[in-house]
Amino acid sequence: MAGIEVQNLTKTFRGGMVKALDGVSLAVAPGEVCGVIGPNGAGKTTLMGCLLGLLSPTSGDLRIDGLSPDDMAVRTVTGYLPERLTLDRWMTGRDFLEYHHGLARLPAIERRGAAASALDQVGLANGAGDKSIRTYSRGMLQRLGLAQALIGRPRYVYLDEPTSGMDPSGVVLFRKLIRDEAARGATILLNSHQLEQVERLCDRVVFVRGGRVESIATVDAGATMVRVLRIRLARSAEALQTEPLPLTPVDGVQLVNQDGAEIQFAVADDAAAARLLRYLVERNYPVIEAVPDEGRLERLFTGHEPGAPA
Amino acid sequence: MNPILIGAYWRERLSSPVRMVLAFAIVGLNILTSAFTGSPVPDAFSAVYLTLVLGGGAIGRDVSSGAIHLILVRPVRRSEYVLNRWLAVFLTTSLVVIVQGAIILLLLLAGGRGVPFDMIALNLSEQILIIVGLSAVLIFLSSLVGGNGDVALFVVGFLMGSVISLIGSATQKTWLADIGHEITRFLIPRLELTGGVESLTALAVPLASWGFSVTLCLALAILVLNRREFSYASTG
Repeated sequence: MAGIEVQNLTKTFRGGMVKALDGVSLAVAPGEVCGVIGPNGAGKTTLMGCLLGLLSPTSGDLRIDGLSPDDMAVRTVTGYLPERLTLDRWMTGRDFLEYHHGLARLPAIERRGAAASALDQVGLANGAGDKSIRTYSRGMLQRLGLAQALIGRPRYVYLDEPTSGMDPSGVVLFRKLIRDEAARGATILLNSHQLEQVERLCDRVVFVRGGRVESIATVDAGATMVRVLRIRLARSAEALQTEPLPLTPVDGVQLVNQDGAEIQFAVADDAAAARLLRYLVERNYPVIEAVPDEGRLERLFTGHEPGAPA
Repeated sequence: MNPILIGAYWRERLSSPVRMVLAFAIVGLNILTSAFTGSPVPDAFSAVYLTLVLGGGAIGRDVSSGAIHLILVRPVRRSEYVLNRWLAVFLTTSLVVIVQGAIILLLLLAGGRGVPFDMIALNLSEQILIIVGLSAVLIFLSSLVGGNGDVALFVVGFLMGSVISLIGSATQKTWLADIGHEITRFLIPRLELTGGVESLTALAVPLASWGFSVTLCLALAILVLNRREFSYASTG
């Protein structure tokens, strides 16, 4: 099979004193979006470093399309956004993308067009691309880094905390780009602490802890996510002189449970949650707290779901 | 030769105000000296200063900033990266030295002074050989330390070699003086051409020695970089 194959990968530092990866085995199919989550120091970035050929495995085997990560044929189809993004700050955004297009050995004749298109893709087309990178905000740098990782439409995309420092519109754009990349068949490995994002984007999620793969879960990216919103009132609903809550107060919301001053609703999305809150406030419900219930990955991550890592 | 890597290096150097001010100061001083003294050739050591200013941190700065991560995940071999950094350093500095020589020549011609073309050509060749050699040394040192640490290593090494040589001479210990000389000669590989080249045979040994130093430095730099691991990961 092509794609990413990792077998019994071990990586130690300081002469074996620190074991960052301990017998990791993993297979990512072509076109799959795979999330890697785990606590700090779990080995996520080390795994990515080995897959990118920046680190040499102590033992084990790594294959990408059946080739070593050091193979130039692999590098030609690789895009990477590091966690700590350091860009050549003396360039403009456009220069930077053209530079990486050139480094990727893509045809010079396509360079200007590819850079312009990449800037447009990440929302930096309105003159921002012609400004010096040193004037960029954190979010703009992250967008440019993402454009750099995606330039030349790589078949393997490695993203390490890609939305760190991005504003909400940037995050929405990022999700769209990743879905587009997945739709065109790119294999994506996503390291992120943002579990909701991983849940939304990934086909499968790998839990890494202490340098080991603890479990691999299928998360069915793109499925409509129903979340639970817990509403706490100042007084119990029964004590209020209001009409009883209907089962479906607004579109996309369903009453799940009512226990004194706490009510739980299943909400389809953020807009439905906002509609629900407006509905309650307009009817004088004394809402003092609205807390989204943790998502499935969070429950898995914290060990509150059957089959979760210990 | 990778023009993308070389072009980016040039532009990075040009965008550094400190480097530009220092380079202009060195070149300006050489031109002024020639204009006043009528000397057709600048001090050979000015090529060393220029190489240090324009070539310092050629690899180390990429390593310190983390920019090297994004380069090495591209289809660029580490050996290719090292060799292109070396090419970029010596081509940049050589170009500056050639332009400087051309300006001095024009000044001499404009002043109606006699121009010893052969002497100028030999001096220019000698300076370019220093630049090529010193660039290789700097690339090696830059593969060892981050930032502009290569320049600091060079200065420390050169001072150490000079002091050892002086102590050897003062105490009449030839072997000690030779060690000092060897250190400084390793750090600034050069060929004496202006003293007069008796024959090509006489030039063969120093030329081979110079070539060996350059090759050794580049090979060591490639070896160091090939063995080096790059990661942001915390290793506890």
